[in-house]
Amino acid sequence: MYSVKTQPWFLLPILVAVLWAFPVPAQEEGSEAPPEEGEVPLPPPPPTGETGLSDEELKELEGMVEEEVRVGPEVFDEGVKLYYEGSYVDAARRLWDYLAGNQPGADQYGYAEYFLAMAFDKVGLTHAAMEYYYNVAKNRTKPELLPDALQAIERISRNHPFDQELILKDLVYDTGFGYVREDLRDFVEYYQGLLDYRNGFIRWGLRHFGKLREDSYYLYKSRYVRAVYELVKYNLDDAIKTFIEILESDIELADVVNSTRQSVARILFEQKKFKEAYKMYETIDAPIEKQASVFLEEAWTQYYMKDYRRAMGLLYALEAPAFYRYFNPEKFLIKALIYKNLCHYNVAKDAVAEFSHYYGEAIDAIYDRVDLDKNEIILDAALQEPALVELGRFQRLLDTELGMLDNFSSAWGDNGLQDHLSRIYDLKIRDANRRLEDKLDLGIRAVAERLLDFDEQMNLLEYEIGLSIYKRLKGAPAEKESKKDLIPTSGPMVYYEFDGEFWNDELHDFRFFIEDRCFSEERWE
Amino acid sequence: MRTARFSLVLLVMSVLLSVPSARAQEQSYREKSAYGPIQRRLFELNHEISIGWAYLPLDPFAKGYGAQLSYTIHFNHFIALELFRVGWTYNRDSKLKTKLLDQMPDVSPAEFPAVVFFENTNLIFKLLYGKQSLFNRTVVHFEVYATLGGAFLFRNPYPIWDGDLNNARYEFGVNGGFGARFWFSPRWSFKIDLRDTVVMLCFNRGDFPLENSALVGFSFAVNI
Repeated sequence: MYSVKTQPWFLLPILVAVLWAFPVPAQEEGSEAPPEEGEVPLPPPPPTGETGLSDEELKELEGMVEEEVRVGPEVFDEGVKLYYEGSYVDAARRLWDYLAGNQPGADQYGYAEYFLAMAFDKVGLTHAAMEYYYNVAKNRTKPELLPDALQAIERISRNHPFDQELILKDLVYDTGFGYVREDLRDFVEYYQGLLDYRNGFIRWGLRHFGKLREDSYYLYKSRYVRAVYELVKYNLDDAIKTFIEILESDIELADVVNSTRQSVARILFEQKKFKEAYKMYETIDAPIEKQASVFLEEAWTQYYMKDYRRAMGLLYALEAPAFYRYFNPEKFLIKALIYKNLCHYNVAKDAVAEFSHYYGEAIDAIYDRVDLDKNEIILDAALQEPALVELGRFQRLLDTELGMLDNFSSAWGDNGLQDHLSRIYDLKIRDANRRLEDKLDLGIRAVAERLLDFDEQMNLLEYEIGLSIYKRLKGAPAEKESKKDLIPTSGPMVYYEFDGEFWNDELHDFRFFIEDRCFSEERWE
Repeated sequence: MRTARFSLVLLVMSVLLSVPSARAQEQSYREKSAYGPIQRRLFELNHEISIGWAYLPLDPFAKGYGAQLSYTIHFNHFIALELFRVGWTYNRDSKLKTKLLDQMPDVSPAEFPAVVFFENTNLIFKLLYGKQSLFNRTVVHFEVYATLGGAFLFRNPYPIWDGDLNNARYEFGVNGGFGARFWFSPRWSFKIDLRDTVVMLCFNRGDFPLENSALVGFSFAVNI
């Protein structure tokens, strides 16, 4: 414990500052003292009206008078009535009239915010709805509305991108809600626990997770977080045990289950259990557009299982339009490795050249130390970083909803609601952009490092391919007698030649017919 | 060479930095894909012209052999408008008609009008799209569709070059049917059509005959 004794000389600057800042009381009209001798007379005051006030003062006063106007509870009642009649746009208009004409302490203010949020929710303005649900839950001027507001927040958070800073950090993490319903408590405890984990407060996080109900959606999500934390500590066995617990629990939650399956498969891969890993990958049934990483990892697994046809087939599946944005330099590496291992040296070199063709410009930009965010490939790849994906989705939602506001201009244009919402969305878009830019730097750096890493590996591989060609030229026979695979005209297997049409159900079954041209030299190194 | 490819750090980052995607509905196990079963269809149609043969087998007194030409606008993978499908048929008397005329000379040939010209305008509902492996050697793409619309028929007992139009009938009917298309290439295809027209109204006679006129068509189509 410390105490501070103020020396008297400290007081002088403080006193001066206080006096400087303190407003000088206005002198009454006519009571002004005559200018002293030698002093320059003050300029005349601005023109005044009959009231003796300047135009500016009058305008200010008008504004104050307008602000002071109270809108009666009948406007709120009308808004609620319209809401229950299903006229959400008109309801929002009247509820906004009430909110704009009253102070936050007004009797129905909290209810008006809640109904306004619901009206926005109904017309598809999810962010505006979230802002007002947030007000209701955070301010709790009407505590009885807290469960409903939280429930709405939880629902929107599941189905739409949302402002995680506002809802998770400012509301859920920073607020003590007291007693809330069990299902809502799960939502609150899970996110409080997750944020504790993110912040490194593991014991606090565990305490929150410990309060989740058995078999609830958030319990399994919390188990997933815990398992991942075990991965951080490289406790693979504990991690896989927790993941398996989730998979054995017979839950029907696609996002948790599929993430868990992929995590288990990755651990099995790390443990060099390639067959089991591949089997686990094959159980993932996420939408096809979310499976790019699954295909790539399966290709690696097949590569290590030495089933090069399957591995190449999976790489071809990655050419599907659903994956056109997927940042995937590894594809060329695996291709080149497979061709080299099967002694197709020319095409192996082609794969290396293909890598340079795709990423050469980006790699040059890294070496030249130019602004990397100006490079389309690097920027696009950085935007695929998980932290940026969510933020990007939220930003797109804000753009879409801001555009939607024009649809309501006839109803909300003249009472100021449209301007108010435009301001909210503009500010939030700017905020999201700022956050994106902050995170983008890190993302760009990570992508650049990955690209350099792959570039190095491709160079090494090219060198190895050159060596292999040289060895082949040094006296090995020029051609190998090999048994060619023929496609039977009938039998249990049906063959469809790939013609560029990507049927989603076939993507996992592609086989790439390629002969092994190696003799006995180090084929499977 | 790189072996340890799955960076655990990346995995951890992806979970702890981004909230694990909570997009799934608790009620539904499977997440929905933004794509249909096919990501890129090779065989897209826009404006199609087809030309081919027509066979009208249903009339017991005359069998029609003819040609047809159609123009179809394809709006999307599911629906198209066959703006017109016009055809002409050459009718050969059936044995029944010859026999009747031989044995019952009182019966006038004018009693047996047969379709000479037809025009159909139909909506086309493309129900199935698929591919089959032919002897494990090649892949055949096909589609099956249903049609519904209206038809105008010109029926006359005599060939048009006889110039006898005294017993001609100008009729309107409802047309419906099925068809299948097999693609040779994204541009060219072959179609088989089974159509039936129920004749509802004869304009120049003012009667409601309610007769069937079926058509089997084979045509080559080109997407332009």
